Amino acid sequence: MRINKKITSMLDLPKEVTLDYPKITIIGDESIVVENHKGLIELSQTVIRLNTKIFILKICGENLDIKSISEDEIEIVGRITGTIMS
Amino acid sequence: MHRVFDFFVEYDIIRLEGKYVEKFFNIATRKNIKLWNVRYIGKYVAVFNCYRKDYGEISKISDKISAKLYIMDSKGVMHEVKKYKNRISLYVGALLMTGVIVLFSNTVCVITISGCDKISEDKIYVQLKESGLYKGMFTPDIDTKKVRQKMLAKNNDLSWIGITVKGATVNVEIVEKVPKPEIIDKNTPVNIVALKDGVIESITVRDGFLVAAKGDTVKKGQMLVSGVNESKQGDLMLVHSVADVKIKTWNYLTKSFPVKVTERIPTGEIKNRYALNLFGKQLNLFFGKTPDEKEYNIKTTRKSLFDMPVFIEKIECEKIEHVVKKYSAKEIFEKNKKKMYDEILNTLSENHIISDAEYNYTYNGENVIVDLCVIAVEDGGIEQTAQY
Repeated sequence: MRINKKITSMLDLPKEVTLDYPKITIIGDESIVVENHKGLIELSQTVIRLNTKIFILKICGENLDIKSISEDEIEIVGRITGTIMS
Repeated sequence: MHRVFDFFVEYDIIRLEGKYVEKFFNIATRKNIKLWNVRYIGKYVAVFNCYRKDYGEISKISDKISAKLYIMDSKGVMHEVKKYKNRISLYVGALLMTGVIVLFSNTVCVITISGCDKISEDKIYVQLKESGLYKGMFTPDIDTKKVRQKMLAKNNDLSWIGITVKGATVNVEIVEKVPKPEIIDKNTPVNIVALKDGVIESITVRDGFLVAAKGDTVKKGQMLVSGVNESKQGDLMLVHSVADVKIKTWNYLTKSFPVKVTERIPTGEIKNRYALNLFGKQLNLFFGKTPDEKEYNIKTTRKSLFDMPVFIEKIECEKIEHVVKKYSAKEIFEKNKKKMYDEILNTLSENHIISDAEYNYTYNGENVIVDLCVIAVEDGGIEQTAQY
């Protein structure tokens, strides 16, 4: 794992590809796209918790909906008030 | 992009009820089942969309986690098509409508003619039809080059013709020939002779030798201006005579009219018939025979549909009775004198002035004999090649 990290760092490769790290894209306060997630842990209108390789991502907001979900990518829409990585 | 795809492919809106909804979504995504619009709407209840083809898989997953699935709605073009698959008449109608639209958009509906000054548009229409361009024909069949050539060969008054086809409209632009001025052949000696019997009202000679004078009584064909003259030295002088001659003429017409006349009297009984006229072919929208003109006064009015050569014709048939009526001699005279007057006018030359008209009638018991005399001043000279 460390070798992977080193090679990625040396060659300046994208970590979400080589190390399967989550890539989180937030657009304003209305949409959040998480690539390389590892599944849903909690689903409600105010909180969505996602598992990733290195942390659990907690998305807080109001009227949260999953616009689309696939094995690699999830797009959440609604009024996003915060994200917590733990 | 998937939004566009979803619009066509059949998909369901599904309600999921169970304790482990998150687990359901995780298993589904691991099995590469595409889910979208996932909404958590209450305790242990979520709603989502998925393709109809994946329903079997997700129902297995729901069984696995002891959740219940309910299809709330189905959407997509394919779903709508399935819904209407048994409505054959709808498809037949749509197909027919498409056929009609294609037919009409490829059919000549309007022919506009521009540039007509001396030539009548009706004449051009007729000649275009003879040359292979008419309303109701298919636009791909129009050979503009051939039509142009035929039109120029047919009509000597045309200098140029242009034909442009725009959809169902054909624009025909024509340029008329400027007529050549009449060339007077000064070398041929010409006399002016009387066109009709009468009395010369006036005579103005521009060229030639006057042989008649104002006030002379002349017969048809009598020489008025001579183109040949002999000089004192015995030489022949030959000229092309030109003169304006006005002759007072007496034009007589006598006609006999019976006092008993069979008349068509309308009974007031009207029957309306309708017909469809498609590209000049009439399709009756009624049963039975077309009413006979001997028994009915027939008046046809037509209404164009969508500015195309398709008409709805209303045939108004008013039943008539044949009644024999006996009129007085005066009534018969009054009824027919205008007709006789017009008949005489048609025989007069173009530039005429009516001086007087005298009527007289006699009755012999069965018929009324009407005599009419119209006195007119008209052009009375005509050219005739001189003999010498």
